[in-house]
Amino acid sequence: MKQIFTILWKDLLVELKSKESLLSMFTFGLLILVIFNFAIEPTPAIKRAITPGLLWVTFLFSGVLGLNRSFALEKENMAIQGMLLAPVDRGLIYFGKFGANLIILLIAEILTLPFFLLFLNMPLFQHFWWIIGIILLGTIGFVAVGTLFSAMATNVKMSEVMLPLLLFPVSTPILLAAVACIRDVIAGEPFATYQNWFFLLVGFDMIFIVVPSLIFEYVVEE
Amino acid sequence: MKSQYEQVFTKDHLGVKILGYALLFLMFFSFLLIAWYAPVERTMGLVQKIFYYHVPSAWVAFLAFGVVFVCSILYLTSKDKKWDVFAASSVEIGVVFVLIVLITGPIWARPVWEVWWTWEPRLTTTLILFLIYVAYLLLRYFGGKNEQTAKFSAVLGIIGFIDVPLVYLSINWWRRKHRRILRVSGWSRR
Repeated sequence: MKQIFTILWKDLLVELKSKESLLSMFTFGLLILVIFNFAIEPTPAIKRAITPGLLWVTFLFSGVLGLNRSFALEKENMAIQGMLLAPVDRGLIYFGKFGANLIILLIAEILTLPFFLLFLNMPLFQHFWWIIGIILLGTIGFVAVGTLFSAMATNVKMSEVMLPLLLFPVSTPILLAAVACIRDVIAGEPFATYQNWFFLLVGFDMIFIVVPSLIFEYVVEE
Repeated sequence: MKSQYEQVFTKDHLGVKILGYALLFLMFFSFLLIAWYAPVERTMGLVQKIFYYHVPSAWVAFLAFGVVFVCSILYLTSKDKKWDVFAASSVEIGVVFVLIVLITGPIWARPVWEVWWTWEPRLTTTLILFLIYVAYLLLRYFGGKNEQTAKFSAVLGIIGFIDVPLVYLSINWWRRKHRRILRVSGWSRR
């Protein structure tokens, strides 16, 4: 547990000093929102219809920006070598990186969230804790697969392009489930209408935390 | 120097030759059966015969991706390069057959459903499947021929296959709302 926290803290500290990922993710998220508003010119009805989807498109796209940085930084100064030399289980390194990526993406999402209220009239405060909970679950699943793929993509040519190509098809279930949950929550539906989606999110999260933590060692070993 | 498996699986090998010619003969034979033996379907007409390519291609593709999954696990546990070669060839086979499915599907759907494409669960799952394994091929292409690429693609082979049931489930639920509309207007109208 202590090792996980050390790796997590190291990543967060680097991020807090430079704020590179956070700033770029946040700005990029805003930009997507603005572009969509120009491209669609939403009426109030359209706004209601596109908000859940747009929310997750924004989060996933800016998420990829952050995930791309995650292992690129480790590679630049051969820092990953040092981490691998440490007498730590590789699964724990995965959890450390996963935790750091998760927290950074969550901060970026929370920064972007008010603009959905501003631009799209998203009813943020009526169902605040449900929305936050679903964002948390969706982000966990996405970052869990993303951390694994980021470690892979960093080591091949065209890494910035490779990550979304790997990540988006695989995260289709997360996207659908998270969009459906947010859509029903915002519409004020009772839990029973979207419980299937909710449990799919939870299931995806569990599978894609356990499986990558088991195969992560094959990705980083030399 | 050639390793053992490369010597076993060249195109001059007797087993490969027998299987190859058997395939050629059976494909021709099945074409004859499709053209003359199978009756013309009453409501859909001649276009229904595309099923005889469409459906088996889907089976082959799924089987191929199942083989990729098993070989990927075997590769990661044994590090025997043979399994990597099996997995990679199997992905190529799978992608080709998924492509056949995706091409023949719309050709059939246009006269019968009156649209080229609908976001129907099986169709959509097949498309996502195709994208996952195209990414697999790109990963191998960009990674170059080395042990690291073999490991990465094995990881993707495992994750991708685990993901497929979840993709199907989620898309199935996603479309549930729309299916009623499809029924009301009738399959042929939509």
